[in-house]
Amino acid sequence: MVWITWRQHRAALIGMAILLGACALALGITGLRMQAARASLVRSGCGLFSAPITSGCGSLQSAYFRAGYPLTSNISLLIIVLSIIPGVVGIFVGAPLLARELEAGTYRFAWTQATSRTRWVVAKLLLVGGTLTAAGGAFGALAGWWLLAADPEVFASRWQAGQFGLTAVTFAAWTLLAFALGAFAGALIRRTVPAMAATAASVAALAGATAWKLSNLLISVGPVIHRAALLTVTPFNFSPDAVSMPGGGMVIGPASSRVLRTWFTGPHGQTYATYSSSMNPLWNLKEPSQHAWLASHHLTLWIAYQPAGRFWIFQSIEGAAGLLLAVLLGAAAVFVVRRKAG
Amino acid sequence: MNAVEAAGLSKRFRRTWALRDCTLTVPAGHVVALVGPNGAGKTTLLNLMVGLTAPTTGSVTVLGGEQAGSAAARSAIAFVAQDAPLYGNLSVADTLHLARNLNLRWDQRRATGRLAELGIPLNRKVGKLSGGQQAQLALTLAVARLPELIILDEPLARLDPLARHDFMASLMAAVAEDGLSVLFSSHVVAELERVADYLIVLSRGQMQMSGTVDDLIAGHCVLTGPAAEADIYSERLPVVHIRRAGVQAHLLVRMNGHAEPVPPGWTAHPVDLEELVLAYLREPGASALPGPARLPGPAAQSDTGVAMLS
Repeated sequence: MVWITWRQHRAALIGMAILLGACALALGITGLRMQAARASLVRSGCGLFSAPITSGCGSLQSAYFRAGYPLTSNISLLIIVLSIIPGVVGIFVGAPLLARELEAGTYRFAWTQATSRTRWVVAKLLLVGGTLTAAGGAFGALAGWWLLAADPEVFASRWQAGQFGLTAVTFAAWTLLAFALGAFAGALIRRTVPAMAATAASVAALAGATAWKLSNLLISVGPVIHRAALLTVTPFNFSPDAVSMPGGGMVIGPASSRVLRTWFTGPHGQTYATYSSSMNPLWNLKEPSQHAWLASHHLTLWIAYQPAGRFWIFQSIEGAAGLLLAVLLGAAAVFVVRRKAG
Repeated sequence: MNAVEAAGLSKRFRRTWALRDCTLTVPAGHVVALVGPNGAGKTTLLNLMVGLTAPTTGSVTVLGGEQAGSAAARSAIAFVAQDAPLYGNLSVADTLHLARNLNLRWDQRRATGRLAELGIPLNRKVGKLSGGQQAQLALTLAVARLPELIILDEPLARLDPLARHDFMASLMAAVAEDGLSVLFSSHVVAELERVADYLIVLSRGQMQMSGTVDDLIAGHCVLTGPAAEADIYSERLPVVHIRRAGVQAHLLVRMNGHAEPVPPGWTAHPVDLEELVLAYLREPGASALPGPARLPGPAAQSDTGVAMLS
């Protein structure tokens, strides 16, 4: 079945390899350039921003920001484009896998040979699915590395929905899931183009739900709760792990953590939301007075956050959920194939 | 051993019954023709035999009791579906490779030998072959699997007369060489007599006739006489079909194990296969199915399955 699977689907697989290869090449080249530029910045003791233009740091800083062009000119768009790739895989590799056989009628040949149709479809799903998962994992790792090289502190929050999906674990899981959705749609609908459309719609719906709701729901489970300090001056290179306060201040959680919410507690245990009207006097004050005001009212600032170390736990949870769903869809596709009446 | 046994086999698609109450016993070692008009249910019946479809009611077993579609059945039966489905973007050699990988028994030399004889180049894409060549390739794949039974669904439908002749010649050569059984469906009745020695007639989802060609021909005769008397005798004799031609009428009579006395002024002569099949196809209510198997004895064959013209 290995030869058969390769020979029948090599056009789609080669197409995907070209797509991923081209993207990987672009990411690889710009990523390495950015890494090199950043290394020379660090060696010269310069920060990423704020050096006077006359000092040597200025040219190194502009070299760093130029290194990632054109990909870094709009990172949000790049993240969206990269996040679409698993869907593209599902549509162009997953949907035609079974749909083309059923549409063209060649199943009447393939399923009357000595090899059972169960073995035939399971082998195809495992071989193609496994290959795509491995490729997805490698590409996800590359994308994660690139995001780190592009924005190690300034813009990147790997906890955010878009970037959360661009690591080895989640990218691989999404690629496999989109493929499984496509294969199941193909088995059920039995026509290639409608199956592709159905796959596109369902992957988009699932990805949308995850990005908007499910990711946040997942990450808000069981946070660590700490006192925090109110920063009255916004640092120039504001951290993505920070939560901005009204009036321009910031609260920063531990490095690379995900701050979920902040609130104040009073001397008798009352809770005040950051944006509640009781806190308005605080935000109207000028900066140094804010500390004094808080102290005089015996208010303490708290944050709830997910520490950096839990990032991979949540990644694994999302990855495992994607894998489980993919396996269920694959099993459903096998079931539909076995049941199909001629 | 029976090549195919079916009992009460029926298949419904949504609300239409494609096949109703099919009961047949096809012996092995014959070339069986399944004949019927378009929409009769031939493809459905063949799909049930190879396990592409499951029956709604009834059962079908193949090659001595194997479940249709089971592993043993699939490895011993080669199926060529309607229009010989093949992968158009694979080369002929790739198609052979694919078929070899999917089967337990495979005779590569036989396959390449046949293709060389037929002049089909191994490196051409299957989609670029002519209809006749594709049909021959499909047949080659079937034969190279070394099956016990080959089932073909309307193999001649899209072939020109020359291609048809070549195809049937190829098929008969393979039968002679390997002694395998063949079951093919057709709505081309004319060429059957040369090729088939067992016949099944299917019409509107129901079986009308099944039996060896010799038995069926021996069991019928045509009485020719004046048209005016046709109606009188048609009530007394088991007539399947009346064909009027001017002043003459031809009555196709089923002989129930004994020769009917020929009415005065009438002549009797044997029927040929095409006339027999066409007559039954024109009379959907008529059927000539074998009764339950009897122990050998002097009793006359009963015609439990016969419905008369009313």
